[in-house]
Amino acid sequence: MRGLAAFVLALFPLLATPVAAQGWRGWDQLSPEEQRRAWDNYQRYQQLPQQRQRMIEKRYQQFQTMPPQEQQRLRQNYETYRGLDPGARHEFTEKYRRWKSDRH
Amino acid sequence: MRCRQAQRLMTSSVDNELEPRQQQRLDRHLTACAACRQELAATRTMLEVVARLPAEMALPPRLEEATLHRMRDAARAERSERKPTPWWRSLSLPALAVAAAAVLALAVGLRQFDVVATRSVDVPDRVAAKSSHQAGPQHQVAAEAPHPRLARQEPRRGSEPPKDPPAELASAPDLFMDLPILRHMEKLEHFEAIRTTTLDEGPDPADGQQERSSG
Repeated sequence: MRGLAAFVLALFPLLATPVAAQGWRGWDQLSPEEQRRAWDNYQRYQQLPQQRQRMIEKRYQQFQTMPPQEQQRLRQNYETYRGLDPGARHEFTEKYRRWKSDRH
Repeated sequence: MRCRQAQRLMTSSVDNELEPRQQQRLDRHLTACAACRQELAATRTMLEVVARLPAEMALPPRLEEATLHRMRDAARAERSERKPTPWWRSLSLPALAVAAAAVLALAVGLRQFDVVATRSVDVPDRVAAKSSHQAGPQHQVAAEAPHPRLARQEPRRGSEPPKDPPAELASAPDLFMDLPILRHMEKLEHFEAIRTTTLDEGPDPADGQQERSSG
């Protein structure tokens, strides 16, 4: 918990950059549905081991520095990934393992 | 690799987030360590049982709150460096299995007798999929699909957000809006390359391992 608080504090300079300022919205600016979604994910995040939380925080920093088009590309890919049926998702997972293994 | 380290890696392994070398080290440990294998098997069995339960199930609010409370306390204790071993390590596997079975039996029994509150848990994927089309283009990421272990720990998903959110959430709502993307970021960054990867019939380094879910 303290780690996340420190991380959020460390983010303030980053949030001042134009890239981040374009997309950042405060809690009150989220729609009720978005708040619910963020709340669900927040609860889920709290259940993750600290190691995973740190990894996600690093990725968040990385994501924030991406150009908007790249962020949009990842969002679209996520929607595609989410829409895969169980068989296709299993196949994708196998391919991911193979891809990762080949890469190293 | 020691058991404690192996257990730290298990979550990442389930999500396919381990580097191949780490995965191989974990596999080697599992091959040599009967206790960790047994723990993995017990967890898998429990998840199978949970998966067979009805999708919608309500628990008495007091039981739910008390369970969550105890789990948070336990997690806090586990994180403390002063404590050499996590609390659950002191429990034997049979004790855990009996406790889990008792909770499940209680939940199913209460449901049958219609004693529990009628409030049911959302089906978040459907709701989120629908809502993601209604949301603005900036944030169309749906609530993350339930991880089996998390679904087990977080039966109250879909609860209304508080009017006064925790500071972490209020300060960085984007982090939590984008949590599913962040969890799968490597896959999403190389999505096309992965999709075009061919699965030949050659020896897979993961052969002999248990299938892992994509998370």
